[in-house]
Amino acid sequence: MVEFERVGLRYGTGTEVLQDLDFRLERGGFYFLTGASGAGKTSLLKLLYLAQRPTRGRVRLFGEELGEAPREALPAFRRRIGVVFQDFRLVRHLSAFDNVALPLRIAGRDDRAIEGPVREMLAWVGLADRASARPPTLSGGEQQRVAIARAVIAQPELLVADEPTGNVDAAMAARLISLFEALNRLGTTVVVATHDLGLIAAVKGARLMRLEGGKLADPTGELRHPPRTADPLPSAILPQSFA
Amino acid sequence: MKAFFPPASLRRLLPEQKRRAAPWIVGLMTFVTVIVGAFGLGIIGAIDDLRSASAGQWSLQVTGPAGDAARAEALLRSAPEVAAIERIGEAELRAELSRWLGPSADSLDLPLPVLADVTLRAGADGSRLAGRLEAAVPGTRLVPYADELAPLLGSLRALTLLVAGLLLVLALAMAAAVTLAARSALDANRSTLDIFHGIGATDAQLLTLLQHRIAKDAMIGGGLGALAAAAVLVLAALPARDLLGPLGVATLLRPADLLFLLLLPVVQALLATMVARTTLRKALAAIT
Repeated sequence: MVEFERVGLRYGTGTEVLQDLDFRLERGGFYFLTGASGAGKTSLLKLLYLAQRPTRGRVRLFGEELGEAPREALPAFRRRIGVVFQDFRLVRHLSAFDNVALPLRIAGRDDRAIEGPVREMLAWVGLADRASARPPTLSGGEQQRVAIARAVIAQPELLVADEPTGNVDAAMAARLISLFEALNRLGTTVVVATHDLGLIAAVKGARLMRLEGGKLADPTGELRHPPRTADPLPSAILPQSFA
Repeated sequence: MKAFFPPASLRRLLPEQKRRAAPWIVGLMTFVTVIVGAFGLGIIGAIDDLRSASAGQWSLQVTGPAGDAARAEALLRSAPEVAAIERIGEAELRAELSRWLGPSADSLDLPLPVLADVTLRAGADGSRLAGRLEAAVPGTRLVPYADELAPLLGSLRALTLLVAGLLLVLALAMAAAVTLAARSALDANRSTLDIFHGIGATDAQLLTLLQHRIAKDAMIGGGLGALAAAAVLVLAALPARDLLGPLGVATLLRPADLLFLLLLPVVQALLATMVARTTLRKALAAIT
């Protein structure tokens, strides 16, 4: 799914913020990325969701060499990746509904095919009655849930989340993580950057990646079968047989 | 057409900006372009009219004794090349001279030449006739109107070139203004466009959203500018005709000219959209 080989990243002429990263993320794996502030978590996530290209080394994504991919090829890669940004990056003038619908619209789905899945996804993250609200009128937690709904609505092959539960209460955090797990069971590779040890402990079978000073310190952890969740999951994500 | 007119669900992905400069810039440019274009077409029309009005028209000029004038007129009337000859009356000559000489033009001491308008038949060789006339009545001249009008036609042609240059400068100025407006639109929406890029939007999709707005602005501005210019031209047409009428020059624009003027705003809107598209494509390509 993802292969990094001696990857380095520097911004401008500064020192390298990421050095000699060598790792491989398996298809269907669930990974937590942790490390102190400034360790390079966000930079690594940027490489994963293609906001940055490495300054050295090789990155393979979905079986293709990214170093050789022309710029025009990147949107097709990005459509296969769902991203939950730390600062949410919602479009301020669009409603919660339209924000969640964005990946589907960009993928060319027509309005009739969008309405149902988006309403269902909003209901699942507890925002059914806030569908027409714009981001500035939503609380931090609500914005985060919209951002998560937007990231998963198109059933990405790779889900990258930067502190996705930082602004929600414990119950909602558990619910959102169960959504990630459900996606993971369907084959989505999940990478979550977090400081929340409780969250890391909650996902059985997840692997842990720790960054220290721009280097991968110890790619450790056991990959175990995650537990089934009792929550009903949105059919936008789960096929009918799962719902 | 979908590239210029995306569906409403996609159009609203970019925020509506209430105060936009582009329609005003394009409107102003279109207004000036149409006025300058009409002026240029009027000059071209005047040149054509002057040339057709002076074709076959010659002037008989006799400065010798009165008998010479009568002999010259008689010779011309009997020449097969001449279709008509009309002497210009003394009163008319004095009235014309009074514009330069004032009351002195009425003085009987002022020697006046004999002038006559001579119309030649189509295909007649005026130069040969002028040679025969000068040989028969020395001191008389038969001069084509075109020679008299040559300096004026030269000046008008120079004006036409000036107008063409002005139109070119206006087109370049509008291209520069649209480039700035396009960059400004891109900067204003940069954070939104970054989000769209991150979600997998292609440059072509973003280009469609941005250029639709600029095309709309160009059409609105172009339409308003053209309407304002049309109003000004209509108001200016009558006095201009009164002014140039005595010279025998038709000043009203012809149907083909009007069609050209109608097409100018459309061409400008297309030019603005193409310039915006090129600018935006380059700017988007610079974004990772």
